Amino acid sequence: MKAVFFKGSPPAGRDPLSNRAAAAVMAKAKALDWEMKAFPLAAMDIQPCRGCFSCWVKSPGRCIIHDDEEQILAATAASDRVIWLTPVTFGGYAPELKKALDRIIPILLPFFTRVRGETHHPLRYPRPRRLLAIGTLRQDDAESEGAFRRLVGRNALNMGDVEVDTLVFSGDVALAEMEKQLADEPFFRGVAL
Amino acid sequence: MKGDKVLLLVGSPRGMASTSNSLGEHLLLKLEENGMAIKKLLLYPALADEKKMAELLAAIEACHLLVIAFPLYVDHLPAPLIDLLRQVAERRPARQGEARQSLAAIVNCGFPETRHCRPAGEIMRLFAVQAGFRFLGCLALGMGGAIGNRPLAKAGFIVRHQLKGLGQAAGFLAAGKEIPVAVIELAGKPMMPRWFYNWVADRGWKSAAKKHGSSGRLLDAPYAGEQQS
Repeated sequence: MKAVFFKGSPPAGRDPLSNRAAAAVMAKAKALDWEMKAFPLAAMDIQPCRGCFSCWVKSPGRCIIHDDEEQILAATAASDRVIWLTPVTFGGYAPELKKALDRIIPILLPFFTRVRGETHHPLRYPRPRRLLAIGTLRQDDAESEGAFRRLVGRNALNMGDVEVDTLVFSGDVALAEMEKQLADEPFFRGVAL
Repeated sequence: MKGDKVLLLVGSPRGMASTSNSLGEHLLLKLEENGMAIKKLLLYPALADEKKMAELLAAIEACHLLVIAFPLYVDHLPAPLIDLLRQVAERRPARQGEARQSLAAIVNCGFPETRHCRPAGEIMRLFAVQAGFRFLGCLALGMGGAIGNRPLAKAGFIVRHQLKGLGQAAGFLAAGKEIPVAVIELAGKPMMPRWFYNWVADRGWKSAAKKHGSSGRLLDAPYAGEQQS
């Protein structure tokens, strides 16, 4: 199983909960013997998307900015499983994860297609993927958690209507508890592709 | 309110050449007609310029009404805009009492359906709550590609609902009132039939590729080799 892990924890020390969640994900993938590429996004050189659409019309499939995002694109194109981790920020993603996602559009085609009655872009690398989005919250916040879950659902639809699991850790969750919750996720249960 | 300061923040990497700027600029002019003192700043030039960023943060603190216009990126705000909002929220910890500043937003996307923008509107509202702004609403538009970077007033008949909606929204914002749902719906009306927008958009991608000499490569999969490994 090929997996790509968008490790969107903020710089060291700013969010111990998401660091713990990252450790739990790494341990789980190792236990399952997955071939996982983990990207510590806060430490990577990923420039902001310029909104130029060169990746669609000038150098199709490749971003014209040559930085660390290229590794992420290559790993995502080849992945069966995709994991996003982020502190929930105003009900959405923190900029550490979002800067990588903004640059992911080369894996889509420019043309429009209809998915569940809405217009979306087809995938450049069609493959039966599954997405796990993990959010962390310093304290319980049902409003932010609800917004986060809805956003992930929209992203899943936009990324080829992939199967998606969403997990939110809030408060002071111990590593063992995180590992237990991850083990219960369909994402890690070896669902047949 | 008359004389109150409004700051338009354009959160698009395309800056002045963006649909976000066209929409925001039109709203700003309408707010000025309603007696507000207007100012506009672009986010992206401030990202690598400490002085500009300090000016931007100070302008946010000094305004009565902050209007943020931005493009939808992957169902959400562009990363540098989230980063800025996080900085703003961190500078305004635990504000108590009634908010003295208000916030409104305009988001546009390239899909024909406005509903793609809903999560971004929700995120703007949560930011407002957490950073102590009074949230006055988020105008959301699909078919942003049909406007391009033209001044909205010069975009013709297709933007009649948007012109009317933004004009009405300005009246409510200038009075310190929330934008009514009916006005948000008016501004979010389709500019043309969906099938026609999609057809034009697909032709537009092909035409742009031809210009760049990449017509035969639009479906290229440069990382396909990774899939085999």
